Amino acid sequence: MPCILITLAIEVLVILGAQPLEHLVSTVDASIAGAAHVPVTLGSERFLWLNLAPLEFTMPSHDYIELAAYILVSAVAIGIISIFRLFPAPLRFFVNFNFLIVAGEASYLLLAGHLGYDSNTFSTLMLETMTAIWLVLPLFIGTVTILFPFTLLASIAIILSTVVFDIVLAASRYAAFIVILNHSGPILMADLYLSFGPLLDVIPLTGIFAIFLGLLARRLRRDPEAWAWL
Amino acid sequence: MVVIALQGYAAFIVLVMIVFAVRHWYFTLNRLWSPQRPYYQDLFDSELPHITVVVPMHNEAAVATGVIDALLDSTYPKDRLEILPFDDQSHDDTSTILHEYYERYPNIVKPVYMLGGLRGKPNALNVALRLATHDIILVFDADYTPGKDILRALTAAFSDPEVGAVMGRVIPLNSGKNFLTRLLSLERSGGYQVDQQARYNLDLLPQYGGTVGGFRRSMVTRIGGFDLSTLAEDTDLTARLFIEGRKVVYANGSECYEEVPESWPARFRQLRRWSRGHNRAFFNNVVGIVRSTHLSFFQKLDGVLLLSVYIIPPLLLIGFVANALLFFMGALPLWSVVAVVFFVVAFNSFGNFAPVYEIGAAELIDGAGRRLLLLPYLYYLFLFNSWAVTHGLIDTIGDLVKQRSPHWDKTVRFRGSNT
Amino acid sequence: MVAILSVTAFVAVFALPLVPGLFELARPRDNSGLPIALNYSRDPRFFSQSFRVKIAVLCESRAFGRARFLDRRNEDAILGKRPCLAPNSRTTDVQIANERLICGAGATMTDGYGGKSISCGEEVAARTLCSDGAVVLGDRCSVERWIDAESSLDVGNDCYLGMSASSGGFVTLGGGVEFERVYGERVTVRSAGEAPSPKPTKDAIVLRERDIAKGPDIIVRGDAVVLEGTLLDASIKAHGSLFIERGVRITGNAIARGELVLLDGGVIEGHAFGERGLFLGVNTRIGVPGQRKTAYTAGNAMLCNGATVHGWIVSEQGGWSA
Repeated sequence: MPCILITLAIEVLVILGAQPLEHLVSTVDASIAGAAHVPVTLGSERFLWLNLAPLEFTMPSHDYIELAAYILVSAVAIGIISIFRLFPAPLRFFVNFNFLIVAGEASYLLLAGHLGYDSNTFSTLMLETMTAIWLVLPLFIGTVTILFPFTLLASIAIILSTVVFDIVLAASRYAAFIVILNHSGPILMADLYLSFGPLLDVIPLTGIFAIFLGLLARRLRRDPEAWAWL
Repeated sequence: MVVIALQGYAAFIVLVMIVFAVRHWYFTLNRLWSPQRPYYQDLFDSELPHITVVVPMHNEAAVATGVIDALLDSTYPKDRLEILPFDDQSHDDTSTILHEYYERYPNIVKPVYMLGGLRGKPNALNVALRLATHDIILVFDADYTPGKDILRALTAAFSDPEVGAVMGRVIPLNSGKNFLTRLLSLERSGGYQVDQQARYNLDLLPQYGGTVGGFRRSMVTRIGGFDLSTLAEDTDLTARLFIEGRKVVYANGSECYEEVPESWPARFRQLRRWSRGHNRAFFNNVVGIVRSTHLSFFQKLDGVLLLSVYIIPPLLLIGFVANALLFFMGALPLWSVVAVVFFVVAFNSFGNFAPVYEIGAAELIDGAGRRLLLLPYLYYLFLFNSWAVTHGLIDTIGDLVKQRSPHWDKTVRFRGSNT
Repeated sequence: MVAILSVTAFVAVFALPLVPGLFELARPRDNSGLPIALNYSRDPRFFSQSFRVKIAVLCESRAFGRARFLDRRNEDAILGKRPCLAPNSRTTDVQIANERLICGAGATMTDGYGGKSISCGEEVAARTLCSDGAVVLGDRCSVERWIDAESSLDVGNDCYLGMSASSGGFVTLGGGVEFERVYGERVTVRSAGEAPSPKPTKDAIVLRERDIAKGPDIIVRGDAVVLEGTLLDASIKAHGSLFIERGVRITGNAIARGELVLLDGGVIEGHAFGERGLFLGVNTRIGVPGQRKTAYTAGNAMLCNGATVHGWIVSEQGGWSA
């Protein structure tokens, strides 16, 4: 019961703080992009009850020769990696997965002429995704935390630290993506979003949770009475 | 139209992930906070039933003596014990070793030499159904090391007349060998300590795993023996027993060491084989599970989810392709992305594995310490597992289309190879 | 430069929570397999057998007097031939008697061993008691951990037997005895207490004929009642509670996912397994003489006067004699 209340309390905090947080991220990332000589303009989009400020930035475009080269290089890379087995299988599959997305995107660009997202809509998608994740995160982490016999303090620490971490991670990722796309053009857009985007959040978040689980395990070993709940 | 179809597919995948995530969340909650359903290990009996222990072997000279010595060293009364080691067309010294045991223990160790015909565990078990002298048959793989009391503990389950099969817990012996074995050890822990035990607690469908377990010969014979068309005769048996109104029980305390693959190719082949067999068991039994008059709604639901675990990863991979296409078209639904972000934690629910919170709970119960820090590294296996399982599904579809029986691909043994 | 830094910062933030795991991978400190006690073998008298091994050296020395015991810091062993604890005395020393150990009424002690017998008066409190002969406990005695007798164990009224009471011979329990596990060649209740009279639920399935099962054994999906006087030459399982009326004899096992109630004069020759509770009425019997079976419950057990179990009674949540 206390864990549920904590979860709800932090959820309310995140809901109340989402607007200023979102603006803070946009402003900081605009500064970083500016410092990296990437010209950006702050836009305005409505999402749920929030006013988002997506960053519009410039991207070089690709001609068909360049796109064909991307397809060719990806295919050759996949072939070499698969045949010569340069890395352990899981890493090999991940690298090939990325090359496949790049090759797929290049093929789509060749056929359709343009992607469904430009820098403005991509920025909006990024901001909407990160905001939605922040809003759901406390509930999700709380739901998992409630399974374990964490102390009240630990429960607060877990939920808060994951939320804070994800805000920092999302902000740093957004800035990095703008910088990369400004140099690479839209060819990496899908790969960045699908392979290194929000889907990866779960990995470091699990890492944070694992650290707290490790601390819990240590407490349980020290205090056998703590197992009375089992 | 294409966008709507792709978004519909993405919605379907999200729904599947939510169902699995919730299912395993509930399993974890049950395992950690609910009273645990007792197993029958406390049924002390001075008149233990006669049992037959089957040990299928194919080129197992390196490990054959270990398992037979361990069985002979058990506390089970020797006058009630029959050991049938199956030499399944070995090319090494397995047959010689087994013959030596027969000469030393002619009344207990009775080797069976399979010189030709079909090779593989399901066939050996069907032969065992004919040759075994006793109704209770326990099965151990050749690389396992059964403890002294495990035969008694597993046999105790058959005091319950409804029990058709019993499954013990397997624990990796070589968990510290390398990165892969450490991750596999975590997976196993969650799969048994939480997943199987919770399914047993909740009177759902615990799974007979084909080794460190046993079954009633009469019941298995009545339902037609082992299906030679599947490489997962254990899953197939589980489903058929439940369809017929019998039970599979899980003995969490009946622990036995096993060897997990130490190389990625060996693990890939193992997963592919499991997937191939498990998916065949799905196609063979899913209708039977749904239509069974002996199962409740939740048992049927659990049965369908259990049988479909190796079908989901390929669907998930297709879901990723669908999301990529939607992205190219600028029509990626936000709800899909957000849902996938959170419910990707359930990815390890597919296959015979467990999601991270389930593994965390299992490791806590098992007294883990710093190994918990490896939990995020389990995502390293995501594409690997999905790809191996997808290969298995393709094999299954090939088997069904071409009406072919798969050949048995034994998992490579590592014991003594690099120590 | 800032561009590279921004990408590096993202990678660093992402990798930060994974660093502790990297340390564990680089220098493994928790990578051994889960230990399995391969040599473990379930033995209802495990505690006492292991205790006997530990005191064997002391007993064989026959050097009477005070001695160190198992490297325990605050407890010495007192060895004697026939030591006698005075009534209402209190000792923290382990009492080891080569022949007979006598504990006066109201005495409080830790561990006690009697080579030939142990006799306790009323209201004796001990941590463990172990004898290679007989043990007699007076009324209202309590054993905190376990008690074991090689021959017979006779327990007075209103005693508490800790987590395990066992005997190589017969065990007799008085009325109001509280226990968790009792093991013996024959465990019998001799009490004059009033026993409750359980009733089956209204929707229980009444078993008159054996036409409800496909096989020789009976499986009932719900509560079940076996009618008075039935002879059932098979095992029976109920998914709910199993209510066995007076005079029923079952030659196999009786398994209930709910409570298992065996009314007066009933006999189960195999195991009795009541997942949520176990009630053994007056003059009931589990097992057959000369063989050892188990009466098990994960809940509470109630044993009435004359209830006999040949083998082991296990009651995870505690059991009582009426």
